[in-house]
Amino acid sequence: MSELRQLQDRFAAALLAPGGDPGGLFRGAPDLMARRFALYRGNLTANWERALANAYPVIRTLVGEEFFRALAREYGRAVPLAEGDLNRFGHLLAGFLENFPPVSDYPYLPDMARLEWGLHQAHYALDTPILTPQTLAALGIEGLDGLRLALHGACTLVESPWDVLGIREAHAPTGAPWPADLARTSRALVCRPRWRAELVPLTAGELAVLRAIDQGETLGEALEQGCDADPDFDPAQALPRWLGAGAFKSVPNSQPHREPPHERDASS
Amino acid sequence: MRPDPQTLDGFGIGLRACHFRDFLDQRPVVDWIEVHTENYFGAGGWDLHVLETLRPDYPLSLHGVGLGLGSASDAHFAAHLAKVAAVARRFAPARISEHLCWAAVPGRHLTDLLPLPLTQEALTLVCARVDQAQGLLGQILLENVSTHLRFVADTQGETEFLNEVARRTGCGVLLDVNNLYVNQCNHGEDARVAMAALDLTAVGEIHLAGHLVTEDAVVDHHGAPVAEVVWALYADCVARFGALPTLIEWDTDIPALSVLLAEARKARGVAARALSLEPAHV
Repeated sequence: MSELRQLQDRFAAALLAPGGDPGGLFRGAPDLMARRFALYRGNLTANWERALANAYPVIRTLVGEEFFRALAREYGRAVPLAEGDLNRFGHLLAGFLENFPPVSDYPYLPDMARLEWGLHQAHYALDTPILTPQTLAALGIEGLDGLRLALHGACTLVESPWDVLGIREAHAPTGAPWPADLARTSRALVCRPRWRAELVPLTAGELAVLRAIDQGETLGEALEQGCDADPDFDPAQALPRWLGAGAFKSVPNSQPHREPPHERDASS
Repeated sequence: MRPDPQTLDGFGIGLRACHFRDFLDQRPVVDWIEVHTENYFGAGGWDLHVLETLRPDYPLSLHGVGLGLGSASDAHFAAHLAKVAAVARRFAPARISEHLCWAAVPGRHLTDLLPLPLTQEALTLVCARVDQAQGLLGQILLENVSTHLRFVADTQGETEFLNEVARRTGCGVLLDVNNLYVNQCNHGEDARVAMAALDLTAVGEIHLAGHLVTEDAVVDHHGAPVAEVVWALYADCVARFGALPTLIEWDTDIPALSVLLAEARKARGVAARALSLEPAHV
């Protein structure tokens, strides 16, 4: 192994060990250099904390600033950031929380983390064109049943036995009250109709349909599964809601009509 | 008149998310803007949309903070470089720059500008990496960094190192005047001597930022106005290197946009005065 590689491995190992000091690498008084080395550790953990706070604002409020800082440190050490993009830091937090004893009394935290990571990812998702009601209408009613749609890349389906939607509401600026019963099922669609990531609450029927679509079922089969899951499910009400949320990618090969060039200009 | 979006000239500021709205609504008058390349690694979304919207109105500098040209391990370099190249294809920047530092070990990116031992081995590695980067991106500029530490293993100074990388690879040097000052405080290296030793033709851009004086070290925190002592160094820098594109950097506790614009105006004034005087240090 090269000298440079050895030196950097030693530097990194000391950086990741609490109180670690690579010892003997630096010019100058060892005590002072140890304190200066610790400044780099401070940068590293501050970057972790900032990145994690950016992705998980509700979790941060729930556990408090001080605990969150410690969580960021523990997570950062345990789950290496594999790429130089801090916006990707925290992608495995939900699983980490499931096995993190200090939060075992808060069993809803992992699902809250899944929900928040969904929103965070939606913010950076590819700007793929969304399926509009016009495009869908142009396909003609007879084609709809056999249509295979795809969820938009910004979208995630959320289902939790905990009232994570209610908990999140309680931390919104509107200040809804803390949910009376935490053990209440949450179902929602994370989406990004334009630039802002949003949550659209779903009924059991809606979730069943969207999940079936996501698994590659045709629209007709998926809607049937929705009716099975929820006798009150009403496609006529649900479909416009989903389209308004930008739930689906535009259909690529349908080309219902040739778009005049000015129409594309106007939409950009 | 709108500046030529492919030429970096005059006095720029960093475009940061907290000022997106100001930029979109007001299109403030500034010669050019700089962004951290890694903040635009996402596949899509608002940040990319804002930069795409503003791009025709401002010359753009892509300033990387994560490539780690001096990381001994190859694990991250090619993938990170490919992402930089994708951002460059999307925004056609007037300039691309990075730092003389390392950033990653196998399996883990450390998200910082870590200090590089200034050895022959590091020089050979950095030159090879700069060649590789320039093969994809065209000419890049390499910035001198501030450090809290110097290595026992060092066989040369940073200035000598940068001159040699520039000579071997044809890359430019981005001279951060505040970093020179921070290293002067932290390591007793004379900033003016360093400046005088830098290859006159290699330096293509100047950075200015605020620092924080602490008990153990001066920290290049980019969270304050440029210090008076750094303005004085900047004046000498302009006298030596001429009118080069100059960036005001501010990355922590970012103030109102007007404060950044005022710092850029101040830089313009300091540079104009320095150019009208006989150079004091050549």
